[in-house]
Amino acid sequence: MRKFALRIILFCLVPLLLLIPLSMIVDKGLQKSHHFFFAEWNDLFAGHIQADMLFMGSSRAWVHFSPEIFDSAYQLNSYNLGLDGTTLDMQLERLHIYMRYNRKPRYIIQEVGLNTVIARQRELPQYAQLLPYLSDTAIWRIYKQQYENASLAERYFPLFKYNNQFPLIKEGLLSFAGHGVAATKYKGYRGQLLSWDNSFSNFVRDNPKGYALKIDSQAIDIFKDYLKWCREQDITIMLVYAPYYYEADHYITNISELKKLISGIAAENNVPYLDYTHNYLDSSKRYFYNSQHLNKEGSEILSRMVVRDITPYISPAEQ
Amino acid sequence: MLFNSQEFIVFFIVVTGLFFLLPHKYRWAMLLAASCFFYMFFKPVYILILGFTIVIDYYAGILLENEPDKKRKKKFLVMSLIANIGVLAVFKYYNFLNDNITGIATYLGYTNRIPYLNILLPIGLSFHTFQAMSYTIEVYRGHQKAERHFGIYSLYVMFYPQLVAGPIERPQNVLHQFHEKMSFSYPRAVSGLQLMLWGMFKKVVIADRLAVVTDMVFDDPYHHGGMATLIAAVLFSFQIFCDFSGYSDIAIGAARVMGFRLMKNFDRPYSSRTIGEFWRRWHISLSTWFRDYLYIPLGGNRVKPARRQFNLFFVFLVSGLWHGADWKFIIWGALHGVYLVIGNLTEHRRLQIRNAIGLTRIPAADRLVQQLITFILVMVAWIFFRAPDTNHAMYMIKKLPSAFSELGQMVSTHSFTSGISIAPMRLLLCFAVMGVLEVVHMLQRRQSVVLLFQKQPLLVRWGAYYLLLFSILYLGVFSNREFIYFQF
Repeated sequence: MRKFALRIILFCLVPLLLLIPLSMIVDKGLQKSHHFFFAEWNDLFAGHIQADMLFMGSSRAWVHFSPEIFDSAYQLNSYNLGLDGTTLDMQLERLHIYMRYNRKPRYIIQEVGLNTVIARQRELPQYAQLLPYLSDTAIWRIYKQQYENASLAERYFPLFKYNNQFPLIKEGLLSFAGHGVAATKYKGYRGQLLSWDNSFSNFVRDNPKGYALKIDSQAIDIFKDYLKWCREQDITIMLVYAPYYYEADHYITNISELKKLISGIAAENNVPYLDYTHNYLDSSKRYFYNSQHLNKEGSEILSRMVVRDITPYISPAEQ
Repeated sequence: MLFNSQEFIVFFIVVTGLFFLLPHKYRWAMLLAASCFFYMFFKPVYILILGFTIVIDYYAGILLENEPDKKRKKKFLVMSLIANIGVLAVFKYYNFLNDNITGIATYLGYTNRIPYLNILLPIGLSFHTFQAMSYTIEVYRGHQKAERHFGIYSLYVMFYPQLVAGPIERPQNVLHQFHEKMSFSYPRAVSGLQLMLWGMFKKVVIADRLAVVTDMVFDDPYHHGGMATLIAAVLFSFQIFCDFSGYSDIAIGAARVMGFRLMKNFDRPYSSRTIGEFWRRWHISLSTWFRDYLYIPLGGNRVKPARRQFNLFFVFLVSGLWHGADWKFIIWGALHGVYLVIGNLTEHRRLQIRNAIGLTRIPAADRLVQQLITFILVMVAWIFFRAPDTNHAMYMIKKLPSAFSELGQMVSTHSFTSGISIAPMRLLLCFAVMGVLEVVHMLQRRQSVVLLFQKQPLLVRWGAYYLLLFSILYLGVFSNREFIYFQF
């Protein structure tokens, strides 16, 4: 039995001696990669952001606010922290991690809309974005919340977290050697060079009567606490409801209730609320690639509008 | 607890380690406790059902052995069988029966007032019930002495490797092993681990990878063409084989490491030339159970040919019902019964045809054609097994012939991927892992892969272990997908 045990130990040790350094190389490589999964997380953990103004929200923040336009208008360093497919609580998790490694922003432009007051959705899109940082306690907690199949082996067994993710392993190795992919975003933002697709007509076909958004009381409390926290931290927060294609109005049966709720919470907390939902952009497919997302042209117009409209809230020294 | 979970790895190491560290007299208790833990990991309360059948069958066994009067003996057996089948009837078939009564009553304009039971089917119920029944039947027949040690008898029903999905063991094969003092054997432990590794590969790398494609098509067949349907049906045939035989391999391997010998459950079933042969190679422990406890008592081969064919059909009908309380399983079983009966009736005529066209002069081609026909028949039946319901299954079967016109179109347009609604890379991976399986099966046809493996130098053996292990770790699909046969 001793011989058997020794052989088993030897059998396990041999690959571990190779896999542990390989895993570390892949992690380190991805932690400095410009791959669009990791770029913002890498900037955030490396403390490279140090923004004066942060754009927060879901994909509607990520593809709508161009830091380049804001930086050129104000004496500020802005950064887009929009996180695709997330509700507010997940966005705040990232904000808190941001605060650990970067200085507090003076302004936050928070995109509001369908994802602001609904319960957290599981399964973060592009789940691999968290993998290089699973050793971080906060990231691990988020990862476990997001994926019910998350296992300790993913955190501790070398490379197991990259199961079936061979392109990422390759990118990690290349990036470690300084040959990773080129950056595709600028400060977290990437204008989408896309034209109108058929996702909205598919949605209409599948939901001819539309649906009612499930507004969640716990999510409302999180939203209110967030506004209060900003006030306590002396952060000026501005809420922006970006345009969506006007026909979508008919398919979210309680959209007016949602807007009333958000504007009410903004007024209650004395927070600026900029509503662009009935702006001229919303009636032309030219500016959208689907009903909820503006393309590059649309997002740049919106960014300029927001720059114009937030001027009263920006300190004169930074204008 | 699932064999393809990390919890099981820890469980297996701890239980196997304790087994060899403990003195023999405590081992049964430890194994029983471990088996209870293993079962309760799914849903603790269902252990009470298991406990109920264990107590009934334990005492039934003793009563059967002590009773000299044949009539009373038979009465005890019937009572024990009713208790076992009763549990199955309540938990597995009650709602199915009730649904059908509701359907008939509604058709006739009545209302069915029999209440619906809001219960979940305990995992592996059909497996351990059949294993328990084989004990009382064997004691009744005088082939097995009644087990007086309640703990050992409980372990016979609950032994964790085969508790939830078999192999369905016979008391003659297993019970005495729990009394034997097992000592550690290096070659046996290695052989057990090899089998577990291969089983895990089949489950995690092959079955669960194929499931990604088959789920997509079977769950929504209306959005896929004939070619995708055909591919999904072929893949599912391999998926269910790898899923179930993978489980059996892990079960047999885990038991073997401790020194227990469980029966073989699969023997390259898709190399069968007839449906009869298929059932001698597929889920052997269940096929032989039905043969020994249903087919032979019905008269076996001693009855008139017509009755024999009817009995065969009946056994397969019951086998379908054993698999699940749903018409699709009954149709699946009936289909196999029909295949078998027609196969038996046309055996001579088929040989004449093969002779007439000269196929028998080329044995390899003859074998291949027979294997292919058998595979196609089995594959069509699997569609009923996997489809969400009979309507979906019928729709898919009707769609199969259009695969040929789609293929014609692909050939004429030289576009082999655009006509299939499954990503080509995904398909390629599926066929690659199936290729690995077939290579192993081809090697197995000539000689035992284990023996072949043992002759190789250490470097080759370890290289193969690492290849399997790394494939499981980095190519495997880990979504904690249950084994298909758990539902039975």
